[in-house]
Amino acid sequence: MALLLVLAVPHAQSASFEFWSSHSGPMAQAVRQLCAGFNAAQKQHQVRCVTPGSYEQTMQKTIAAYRAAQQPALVEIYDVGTLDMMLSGAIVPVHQLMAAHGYHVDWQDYLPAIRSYYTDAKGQFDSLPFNVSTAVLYLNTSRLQQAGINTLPATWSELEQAARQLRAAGQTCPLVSDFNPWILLEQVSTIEGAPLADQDNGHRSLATHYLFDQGLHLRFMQQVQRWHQQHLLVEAAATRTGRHTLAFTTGECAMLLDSTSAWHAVARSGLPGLAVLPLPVHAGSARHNSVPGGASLWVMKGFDDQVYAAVAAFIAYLQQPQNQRLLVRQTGYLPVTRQVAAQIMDDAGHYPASVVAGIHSLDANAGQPGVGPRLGFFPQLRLAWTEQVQTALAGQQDMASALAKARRRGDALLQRFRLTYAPADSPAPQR
Amino acid sequence: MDTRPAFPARWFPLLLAAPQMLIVFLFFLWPAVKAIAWSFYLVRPFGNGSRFVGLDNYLRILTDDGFYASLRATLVFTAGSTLLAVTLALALAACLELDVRAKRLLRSIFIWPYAVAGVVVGIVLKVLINPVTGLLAFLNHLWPGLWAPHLAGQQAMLVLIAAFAWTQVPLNFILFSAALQRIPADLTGAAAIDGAGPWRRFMDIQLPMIAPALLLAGVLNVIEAFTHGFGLVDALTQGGPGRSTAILAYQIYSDGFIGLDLSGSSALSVILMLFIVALTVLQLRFFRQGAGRW
Repeated sequence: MALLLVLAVPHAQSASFEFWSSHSGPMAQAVRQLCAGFNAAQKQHQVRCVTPGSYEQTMQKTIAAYRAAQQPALVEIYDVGTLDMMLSGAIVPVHQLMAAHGYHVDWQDYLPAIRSYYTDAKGQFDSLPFNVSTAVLYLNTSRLQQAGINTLPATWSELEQAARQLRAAGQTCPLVSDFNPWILLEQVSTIEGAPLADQDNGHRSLATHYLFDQGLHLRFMQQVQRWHQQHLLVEAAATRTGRHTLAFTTGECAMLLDSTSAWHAVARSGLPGLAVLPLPVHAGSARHNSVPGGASLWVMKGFDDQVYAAVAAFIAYLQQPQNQRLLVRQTGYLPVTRQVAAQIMDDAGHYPASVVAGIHSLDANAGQPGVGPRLGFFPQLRLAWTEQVQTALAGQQDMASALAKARRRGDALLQRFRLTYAPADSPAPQR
Repeated sequence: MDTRPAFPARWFPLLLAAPQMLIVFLFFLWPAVKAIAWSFYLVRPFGNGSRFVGLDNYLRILTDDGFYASLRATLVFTAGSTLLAVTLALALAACLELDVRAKRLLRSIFIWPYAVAGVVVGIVLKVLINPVTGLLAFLNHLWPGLWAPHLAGQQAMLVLIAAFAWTQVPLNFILFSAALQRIPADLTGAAAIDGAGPWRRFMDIQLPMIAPALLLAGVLNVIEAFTHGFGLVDALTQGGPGRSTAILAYQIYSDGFIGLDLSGSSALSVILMLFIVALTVLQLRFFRQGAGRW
């Protein structure tokens, strides 16, 4: 890699760089297409697109590569890695890169939910939102009609009612979920404006404690536990295939909580009467925007100006509306700018139904844009939550004590994270 | 005359050993040293700073319920899979010492599972243990909810133990077969003439004579379970349900590579390292005594 860069220098102005991303299936294909498109559209720069593995593996390899001075110039990092990247000291903020290379990007055009998630304290983008997804509700309307349900569920109690009727009509699995905290904890809470942690979900400064062991999330999870006991909500592991998306597409389950990006797996199955809705809210609550999941692109430090010029050109290429639309149409990921979102809504018939529902969900507006959680050691909090919720579902403890334990573990994680990133010469933050 | 090989220069043998020494240093010693160093710091993943915290990482781990859950899981997993793997392999090897048909074929078949990676075993098992379509799904027809390895920790652990033991049987089987074949046929033959049945011959002659092989297999299995149970756990349970199958090796991976908590994960691996060192010392001591007796 370093050698290649040295070789590239004599041809002034032209440069090639590596871009790491982490996909398989339709998204991998879209990325390949965008890379090839960029290389074909101009002769000056060359992007080499590499897939190191899953989101987690890309993160691990980026860290290892950076420590060995072998990092790629551009890398796709998943949402929960955002805070680590921001604090890494290893990146060039994308707004700075674009400005330095003479690109006038209208950053204000990015959807508010995305802007609030990916910008720093000054409202500047540190990374480029690339593939944004959010959670939606997939429905098998022909099953719903057979069970006598003609209005699609918009609230959690309507969803419960629908599940009850489906069950009564002989559907053994009315609603399926993989019990991923990404949906049940993060999306559901943010949509109703309930932060998971203090400091505005960690956006104002590093969060100090979690808040999810009471109020909305506790009530919701108690409800979830009841649905689970009554077999209205079935865990993916208890279905024939063990996977929630497949459990829905094979007709075993009539309703599914999943990402907008599950669209292709769902659409490919040719399920008749498919409908996609934003996640429900509780009756009477205002609907806030959901959390933008997925990943963003980070520009790594350690390259010369020619390489950065090439990276900036590639980013400008990705930002072009037609390239955003290409990605959305092929993958079920969401547009990132208002302009493209509006174009898609005007032409909704040509885009995945999950995208339309996803835009509604991500762009819902109840005054202030809600901010998704951006918290330290968050993957471990997800594991702690899963661990405790599983034991509650198995009947070994009640939901309140499960969430209280997950919260305690989470608080310790937040505290360790703050200590890890406290300036070396400052006193440790108060315990 | 001195028959020991003579080298022209003192550095030459060292040069020959150098590649191996380099590999051991780079891939075994250096990471171990690094892990010990990191375990006293809070390390930022990208290396842009760290904070010395003394024994804090260890204290935190030793006062954490989760650690003891992991430790318990590790012990149950290790003891269970070692016991099962040794017993099964012993039974198979002993049976092949009797007069059975297709001995050679069976002998090679019993070795096959050794070639299957832990992750593959995990994926195949995931299908086999499915509560709706898997092998034990009939239990749920007898009593709904009886077979639910995704909710019941003990069931998940049983599956893991069975799966890991399955991967360990072949090596044990080779060890035991070889040891059994080293027993002089005169001994078993004489015992048979004296009227000792197969069980009696096994208990009184064969078993005592292959005791060193049993011990060796036990040692290898325990270390293997401590360090390499991870691929199987990752593919099958991800440490769940609850923390019932989060063995230490998996916890280290999950804290360090998923959670990016390099210091906590380093401290945990130092603890695991200490366990293994203690275990090895104990076993070597056993071996020395054993070598004198047998």
